Amino acid sequence: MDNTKLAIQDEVLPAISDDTLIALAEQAEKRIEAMNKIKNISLRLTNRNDWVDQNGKPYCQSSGLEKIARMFGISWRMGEPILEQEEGGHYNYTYKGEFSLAGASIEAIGTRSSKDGFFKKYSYPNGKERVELPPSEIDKGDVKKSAYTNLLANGISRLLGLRNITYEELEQYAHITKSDITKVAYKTQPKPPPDPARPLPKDIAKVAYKTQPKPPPDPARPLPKDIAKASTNSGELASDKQLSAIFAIQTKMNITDDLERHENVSRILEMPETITSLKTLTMGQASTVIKTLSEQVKE
Amino acid sequence: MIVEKVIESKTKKIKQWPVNSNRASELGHECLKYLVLNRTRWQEKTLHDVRLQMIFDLGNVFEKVVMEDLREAGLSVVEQQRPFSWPEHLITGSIDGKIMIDGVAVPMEIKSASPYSFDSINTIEDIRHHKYHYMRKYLSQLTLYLLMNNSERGVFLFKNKTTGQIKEIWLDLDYELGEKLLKKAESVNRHVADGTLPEPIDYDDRICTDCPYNHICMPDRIGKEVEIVDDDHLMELLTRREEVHPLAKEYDQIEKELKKLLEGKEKLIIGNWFITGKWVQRKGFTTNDTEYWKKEIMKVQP
Repeated sequence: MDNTKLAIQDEVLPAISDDTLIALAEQAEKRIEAMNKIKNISLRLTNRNDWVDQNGKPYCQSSGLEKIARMFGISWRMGEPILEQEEGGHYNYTYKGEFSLAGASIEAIGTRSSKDGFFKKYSYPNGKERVELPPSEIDKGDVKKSAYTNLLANGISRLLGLRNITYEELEQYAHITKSDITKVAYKTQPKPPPDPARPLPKDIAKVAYKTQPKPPPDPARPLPKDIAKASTNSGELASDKQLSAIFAIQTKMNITDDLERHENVSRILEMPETITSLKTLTMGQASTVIKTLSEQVKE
Repeated sequence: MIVEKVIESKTKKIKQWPVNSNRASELGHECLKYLVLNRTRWQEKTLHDVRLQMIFDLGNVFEKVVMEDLREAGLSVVEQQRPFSWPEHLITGSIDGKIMIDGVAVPMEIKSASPYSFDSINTIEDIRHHKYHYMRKYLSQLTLYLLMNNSERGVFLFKNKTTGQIKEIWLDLDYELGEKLLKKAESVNRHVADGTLPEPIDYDDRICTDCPYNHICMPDRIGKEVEIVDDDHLMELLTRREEVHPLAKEYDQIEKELKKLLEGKEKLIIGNWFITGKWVQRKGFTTNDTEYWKKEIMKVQP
């Protein structure tokens, strides 16, 4: 058992000075502003052929993301893929890579399974009836290549904060509407989260851990009454208590990254761009955010 | 209904064939690793898509059209699609044909091109330095045919896929390039025999992004990072530059035409314009080699 970690948790953390807080806030604001700018330019680089609709959401394909990577000068390196056997003769390929830009770097994985409907092959023995061919008929190279492309797409989009793009953003920056995009409909329900019991290969375990679904928030913890009741019609700036509540609920929801926090709030308020500082929220807006977040927590 | 049928039929044509030699059409590829993988791991090559298959098929159609154009013009073409091989270097290929010029059979390659590519090539140097690497490979292809055929000259016939225009570009055998290609073939053969892989070229977006072996090669990409600046003055200049660009273009055109129309006119009144002119002697001079900053301004917009 690792006692060190427990001991650290029990320590009393020193209070953060006001100056440090301000510096952190300013840094976060600058980062969000930069991310907004990057998102704006990135989307404008793409065209409608770079996008597909997946279950009602726009998804940028590697063709678009590679253009963006070239423009920003993203660097990457990747290792040999890992081939894993699955049941029924199926298999999957996993690539792991490191993507970097302006001193920041992230690790990403790209994976594809031969089980994916996209790779299935069929025969028509009597001319009409369609019979699915066994996995051995699936082109291994296609699955491998697809995992590689998936890695590029994941790495580039994560590094530049281009995940969860909305149709509103796409139309605003790239003039691409939902009707312009080819639809890719899944016949089946979205895949369930991975089985935590299933062991991951050692060398990808660390990276894969980061992509595990976040644990569900604790619905038992009620919100402070005074915050929930906060004024909804006031144009005054949000109170410290409201801002603390937004911070606390999002932390509970495991949204701990500054950018993600701001993106989430902007999405709730249907803002065209990600807000650069939560301090600019009005009391009414903060109240809406708190209400929505509370409902999400209950779900 | 109809389109799906066509796509289905084109898809059936997309197949991977074993590669047991150095194809003349490929040997100009700038990445030695690609050429070795093409020999040793061709089974893992990503197959091209239907869109590209349609372009290839269209190329074959245009080749027939050009042949028909030549026949109509009374030009004779012999040895169409004749296979070539150079066993010593394991080089193979097949030439589109040889055109008879003054009793000599000249190796000829027919290439169909988009209007942009068609306009961008007028000399061998344009092909040699073309921005598309597939275009640069053409030079090596014909050079190898010339070597294998013991010919001193060959010709490219380019066909504009939109307008149907045709363009001929002559190639004199470049022994230096030929030597390089033979050395490259030897190097590929050595790697194949030894079961080794050479290093890839430094990541080149125009070559590596769509390389059918990039999932095997996995080249490191060292990007040149972009600088995002906030500079109102620079921004203003760029905006104004865009606004006045059409006028500048028109001004240049008018100046060019006026120069032609007014040459030799010493004194002229037209409407409320008074124009004078004279011949001026310009002293000839040679400029020294210098370096300059080449910029390209592109507007990022949907």
